[in-house]
Amino acid sequence: MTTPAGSQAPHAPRSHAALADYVERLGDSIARRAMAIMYANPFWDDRFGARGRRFAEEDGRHHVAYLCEALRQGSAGSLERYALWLQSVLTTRGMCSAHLDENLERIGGIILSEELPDAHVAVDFLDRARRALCYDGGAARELQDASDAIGVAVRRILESETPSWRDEWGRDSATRLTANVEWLVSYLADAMHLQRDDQLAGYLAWLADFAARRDVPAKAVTSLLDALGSALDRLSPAAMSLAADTLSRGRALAATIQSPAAR
Amino acid sequence: MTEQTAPAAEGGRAPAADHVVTLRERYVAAQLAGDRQEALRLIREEGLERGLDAPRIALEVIMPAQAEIGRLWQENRIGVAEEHLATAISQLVVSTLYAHFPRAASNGKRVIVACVEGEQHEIGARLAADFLEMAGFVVHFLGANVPTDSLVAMVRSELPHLVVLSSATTLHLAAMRSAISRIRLVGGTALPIAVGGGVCGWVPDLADIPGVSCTGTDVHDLVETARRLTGVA
Repeated sequence: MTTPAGSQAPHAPRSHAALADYVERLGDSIARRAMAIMYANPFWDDRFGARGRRFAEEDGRHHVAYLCEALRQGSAGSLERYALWLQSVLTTRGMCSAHLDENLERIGGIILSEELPDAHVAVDFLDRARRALCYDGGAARELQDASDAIGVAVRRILESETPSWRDEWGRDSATRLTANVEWLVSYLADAMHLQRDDQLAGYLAWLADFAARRDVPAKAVTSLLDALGSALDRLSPAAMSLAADTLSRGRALAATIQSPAAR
Repeated sequence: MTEQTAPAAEGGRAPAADHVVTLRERYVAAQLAGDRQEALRLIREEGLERGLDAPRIALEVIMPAQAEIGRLWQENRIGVAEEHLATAISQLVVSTLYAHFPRAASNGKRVIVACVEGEQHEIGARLAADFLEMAGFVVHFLGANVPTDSLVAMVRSELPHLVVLSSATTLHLAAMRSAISRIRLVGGTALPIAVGGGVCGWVPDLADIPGVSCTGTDVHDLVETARRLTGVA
């Protein structure tokens, strides 16, 4: 998730109806292509199955429809509000905020690749919606803002304390580690914001199960979570305490989950 | 519940706010249990018979209960089936409250109330229709998911003094805009249109369309707007 930009001078809304018409005509294709990029990651099918794929298709079309509406209004407000609402729906159904953020980012990338006139306006609106996914203060927001720093710290900790981590993670270990930490941090921030340990636990249980089915040693996941716990010292004491407690409870709860797939 | 069983306590001293809060909590519990009999009993015995008037029950028990059911769905505490079950109970309860709503003398002004095409959330629109009727308007309530073609045909045949369009979210905004522009073709700017429901909070610029008023989810605001738009004193 991108961090908020500085405030902008107020201006009268200007409709971007022509751009909205272009995007709308390409809507299904844009949504499908964004989804195809995301579904190249086996995470999606494994965790959410055929039902998840159906919802993802539907959601993608809604994202584009809301974008078009916002463009016609000349204001990103309704798209931001939609993103916030959808965040509250999806983060209680097994997804994390970073997933929605990625979907909106992918849609923006595809619109840019179409070289539509004023495409940057659509991307700007989508970026505003992505920024709306940043929580409004508190420990969860602090954790979201520290996601990149925590990712770097986790890697350093693993390299220092678990030199075998690259072998355990296999091909593209660094890329996979970065993605895993980003999602872990996002799930953790969502769990803190929602006060829902079960949402983090569901993901951790799936992760352990998925790793086992991919012949990744169980200790690789354990080392990752231990490193994440250590890297939380990048946060303020209050946020670190809340994040560490939530992670600890999530791990304990994950151990009790029998069927990790969120279907 | 019928007029014949109307509670003896109606018109007596209104129950305290904490009684209303408790009633609402018990009502939601009955909804979540799928217990229609209990929900109806609560409204009758703990509401009407305790002096809580029907409009207040609608606004302070049923609508907040529905908001709570929506929140529970949003947070994945209940599924779609449970949400539908709970809403079906409220629809039943609201239909029984209808007989208890006080009515002003007719003002002769005809109003069509409809959820736009695709919109399935009808309970707010239904109560909006009930409150307009209580205020003396002659109301045609068309319910959920009204095809735009049919809506326009009815506007053409009934020649109402006001059309109220409802949508809970912006998911059906295209249908809302289409309905507004097509009703305009039939009634011109002399036929006022009021938009109600959650959509007003999401898209405030609907009120910028000439001849369109946004009333949100406040039925009292809707009634006042309807009076103003139709020239009722």
